[in-house]
Amino acid sequence: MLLWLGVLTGACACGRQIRTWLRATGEARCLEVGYDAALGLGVLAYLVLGLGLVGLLYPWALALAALSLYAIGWRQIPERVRWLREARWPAGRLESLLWAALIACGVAALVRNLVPPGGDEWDTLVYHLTGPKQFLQAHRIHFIEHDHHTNFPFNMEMLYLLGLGLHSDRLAKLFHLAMYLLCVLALCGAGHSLGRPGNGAGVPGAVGPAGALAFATIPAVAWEAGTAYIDLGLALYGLLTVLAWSEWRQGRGRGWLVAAGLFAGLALGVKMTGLLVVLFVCGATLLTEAWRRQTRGAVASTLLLGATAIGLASPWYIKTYVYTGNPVFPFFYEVLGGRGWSREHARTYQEEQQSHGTHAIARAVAEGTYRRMEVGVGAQSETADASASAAVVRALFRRGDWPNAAAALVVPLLEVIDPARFWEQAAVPCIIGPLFVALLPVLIWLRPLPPTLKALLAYAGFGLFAQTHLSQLSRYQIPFFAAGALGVGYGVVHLGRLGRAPRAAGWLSFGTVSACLLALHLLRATAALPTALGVWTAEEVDAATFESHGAFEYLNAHAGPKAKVAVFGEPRLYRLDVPAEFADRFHNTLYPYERMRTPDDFLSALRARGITHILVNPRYHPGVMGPGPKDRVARFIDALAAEGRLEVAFGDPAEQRTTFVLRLTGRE
Amino acid sequence: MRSLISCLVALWIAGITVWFLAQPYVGQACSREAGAAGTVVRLLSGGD
Repeated sequence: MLLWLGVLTGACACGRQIRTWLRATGEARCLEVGYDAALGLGVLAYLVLGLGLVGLLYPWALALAALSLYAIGWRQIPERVRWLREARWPAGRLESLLWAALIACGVAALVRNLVPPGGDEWDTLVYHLTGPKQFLQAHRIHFIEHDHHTNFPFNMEMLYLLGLGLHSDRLAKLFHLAMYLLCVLALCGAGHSLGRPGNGAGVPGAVGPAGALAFATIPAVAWEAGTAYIDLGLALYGLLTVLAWSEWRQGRGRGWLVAAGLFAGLALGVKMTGLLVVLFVCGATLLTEAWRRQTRGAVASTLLLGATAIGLASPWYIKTYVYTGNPVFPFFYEVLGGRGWSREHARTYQEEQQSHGTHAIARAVAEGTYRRMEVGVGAQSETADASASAAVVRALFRRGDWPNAAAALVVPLLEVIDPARFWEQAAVPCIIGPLFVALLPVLIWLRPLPPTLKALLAYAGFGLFAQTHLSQLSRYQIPFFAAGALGVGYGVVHLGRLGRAPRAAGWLSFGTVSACLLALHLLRATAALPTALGVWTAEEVDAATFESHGAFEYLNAHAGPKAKVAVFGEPRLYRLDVPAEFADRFHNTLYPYERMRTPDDFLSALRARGITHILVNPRYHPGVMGPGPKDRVARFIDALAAEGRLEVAFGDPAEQRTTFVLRLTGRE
Repeated sequence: MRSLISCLVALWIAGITVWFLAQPYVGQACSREAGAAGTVVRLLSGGD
């Protein structure tokens, strides 16, 4: 915790110094902290990237990188300390209540960050922490051929690498919590800045905290705050880009335009879909300046903004190009190609990305099997769903799937009715809640809206529309929820303008939904409390909840120094210390399955890659040495085991319940 | 006109909220999280 706070303080000081150089300062304090810390953490991510590229990923070098934030920003520290001393609890009762709820959100998320990642934190264990762990072991950033994810831009993962190198996976996770807290602070501060003359004078102080609470209690957001995903990083940098751009639009100096470019570049370095925020601000600059008949200025400003953003993010895309031959690997494979990928992989990947949301609902309606998915249950019920909600969904899809261009219109409503269709599993974090659907349309009657709010809502709408084309997983929409949340806060606080009934309905709705979702967040944190407090060890919890725990323990203890593992059905390799690679055909082209005809071909391929063990999670790759559907790999392994060329080293394949390990015997 | 808009806005907000709260997954989620938290509390307090 102290290390984390130390790094954040350094990031604040460093970010503040950079903004001073840019002459882009002077904001509500909460928003200032958001700008400063986000910029400082961005600097830190690039310092770690630099260390990784020159092969200096050692704890002492990472510590020096963190300390260099203080070297850059030491002049700003006394001023920040004065700020902290002068901080006061809000005077109004409503604001106090909202801040108390926000603090509860932060504490609940903090508790979950004090626990090592569990089996349900899927991508954390697949690559957000596993990639940095492998880089740390090699002391350099290198090409990991079996996992395409490690070629994505990795700004957030550089912070996780720092956390792993200096302390543990808990420190790594805390950096994603930092993004959550900074989003909350930025929204609170942005609400305050809406009340500035020229930006909507007379805006009450509760707008920001109300918007922040609407965002912070979304279960998808609250869940991500407790794990090392990256969507909250993208949300923060997207939000700050639009806020800084709006400052520039209101005539507060060119420094803000450069700041917007820096934040957009950092967003693009977090995730490729950060390109949406770059496109949005560049497009908005061109349009708004051209509207004012300042064509030359429009082009110059857009070029400055775009070049700053793309220049800052470019190291990631150059690195990926050098490793794979495609700067946005594995996307656009048909046009740009890429190492270790194929047309079949590209097609499978795209189909998977397009399999959620309206596409999943349309399939179920067409097959006549549509029912709203249950959440947090073991298995879905198969009884018919005769509810009015299901009837509405069936009516919406009577003519088949919605074209992507129009689907954005119904996605928010469908996420209220059947949110599990917009998540990978029917788990509690899939829930989005109704506040955005209930309160954002009402803003039509609350015009004129402050310019900053209009910019944020335009970004949220543009992002939701574009993201609907790419993939409809609701966690990918988190950056746009962050931007839209201020509209929710503005709406609920200003409904009184329309009369007493809307005001009462608004606050009742906001209060009930926020309380319900906050309760879910607190209950989840309660379940993590014993591990966070050390009553239960992380080992005990992992053994009880993660089906591959035993197999990993076995391999870590007994596989030997020359072992290498081919993994089937289990990509969550974070806790496996033995060299391993994904061997399922959809991950890479390391194993030429299309050319394999016999078990001998399969065995030869394993030996050619130096494999000594095979690990199988039957939950995701069923049928290997047991009952269940048998694909080609299952048939090969069954045949090799029957001939004694593979033997069971750990677990019981016949049970098909927990992950097991096979060993190559060396018999010809 | 103003009172009509006022009435429609109030109905819209209340309707969407009630619709959300009436969805079965809300109860399932509360039950799931309360169950997990309850199990932890029971185990910590020495129950079975």
